[in-house]
Amino acid sequence: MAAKKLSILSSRADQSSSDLLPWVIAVMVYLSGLALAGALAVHGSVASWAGDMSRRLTVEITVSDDAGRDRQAAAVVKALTAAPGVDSVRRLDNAEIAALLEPWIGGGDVAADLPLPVLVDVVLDQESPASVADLKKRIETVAPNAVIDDHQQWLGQLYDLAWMVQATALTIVVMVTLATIAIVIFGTHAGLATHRDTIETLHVIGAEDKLIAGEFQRRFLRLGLKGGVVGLVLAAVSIFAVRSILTDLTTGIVAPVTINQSDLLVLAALPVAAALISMITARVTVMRALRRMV
Amino acid sequence: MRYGLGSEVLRNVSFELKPGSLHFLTGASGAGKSSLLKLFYLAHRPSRGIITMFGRDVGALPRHELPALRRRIGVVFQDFRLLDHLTAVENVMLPLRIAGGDDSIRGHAEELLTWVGLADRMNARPSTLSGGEKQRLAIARAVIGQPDLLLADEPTGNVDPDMADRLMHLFLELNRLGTTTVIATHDMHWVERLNAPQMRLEKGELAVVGGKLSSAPSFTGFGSDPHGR
Repeated sequence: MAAKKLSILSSRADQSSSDLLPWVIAVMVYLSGLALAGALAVHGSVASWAGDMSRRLTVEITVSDDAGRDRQAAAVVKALTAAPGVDSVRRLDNAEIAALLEPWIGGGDVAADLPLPVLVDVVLDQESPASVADLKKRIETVAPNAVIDDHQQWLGQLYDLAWMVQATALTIVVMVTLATIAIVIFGTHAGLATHRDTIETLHVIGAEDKLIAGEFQRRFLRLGLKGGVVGLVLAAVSIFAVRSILTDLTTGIVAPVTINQSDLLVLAALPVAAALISMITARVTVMRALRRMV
Repeated sequence: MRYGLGSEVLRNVSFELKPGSLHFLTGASGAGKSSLLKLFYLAHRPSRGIITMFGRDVGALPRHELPALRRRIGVVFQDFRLLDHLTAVENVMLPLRIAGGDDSIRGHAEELLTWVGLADRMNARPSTLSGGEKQRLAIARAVIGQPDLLLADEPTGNVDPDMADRLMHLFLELNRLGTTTVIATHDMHWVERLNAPQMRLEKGELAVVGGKLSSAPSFTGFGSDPHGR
């Protein structure tokens, strides 16, 4: 029959660390959760936006008279449709252009009040895309006033932003991890000081270091998990709220910011990671402290 | 032996104990009795000299081998050092649990507590026990592992004369069962009554009174360092 576990150290002796540590770890997991969620959402969204935009061109034709504008637009659509490596060419109608402008200038019959440019959306072939330089030559031949935007400048800025967000998130996670380790070390030393007499007695009775360390590591695993779950729940509430606001804010401008299932798994692992960090830190701290004893 | 950079509290201490023997350790306060006991139960290592215990040089023993050696020693501390969050029976079971014992040791612990007169205090916490009860509980914890060496520091210092008689008889009984016993005490009544060998410490030096301790070389020795360390 397996022996009932006998707790060799009193859990009530260092109640203050048991009370406070889960809350400190909850704060750490909350901050890490927000940082990670931000990084993961940006990563997913940038990949989605970049995937769409990297094989698209937008041709903008701004000619003052309607007839010339329509003639150049038709010529551009014809030239690009005939070009190799182009998947589709489509002229946006006024309603679509008005919808794109709506977030900035509001609704209403903008086509009647403003001279709208012609926009031609070009999607390149996924397998063997046409070269942008070749397409530019073809467009300039039939529409010398056309402006061709291959979105590279915007994509470059987007990648820079994504990199910065991810680097910041990583820095936050690393700093929070180091802070957690420091707090657990302090907590463990406080526990060792509280239980010093008991530990000395246990040593004299014949207890091995790993038995005493095991007691500490189980306690800190439990406290870490408890705090981690609380932190994750609070982070989930904040992430859900921010996501709702962001989705409303970006509707019609870019694809909504999303967190996919694998991202959720990473976030769900945070309490486990916090608990493991607490446990391992406590064990290493106790073993090192005990080695200094006789 | 010295603590840190302080002066030596024990010097020129050299003796051997015969297995199954009984000894009293006497001396005035500050003479070094507690320090000698700490060396006995391996809470300290000698700053110089050699201690051979159970055939091992404890000064040179790797740290991870000390617990196994300590399990062969039972200690009754002057201040008992019971674990207040455990019940009486759990305190007694502790040495065997530490050594990897299973639930079957509970019956043994209960039997021992009954033997020391604590049958009705099995589940009491040490904080609710009287001085004499704590003393007997500490003794039960010290002997449950059937140690080869039993050390008792002032075991009758906190109890009335009747209880002191009962406890001393406990030690004598254990000694008769084969446990080498060292009792540190100020109580010269028992030292004289039993006429057992006496190790008297005076200002950190040892004098043997009441006959030769033993010539058997195999058990415990606190010797001067032959290598001059």
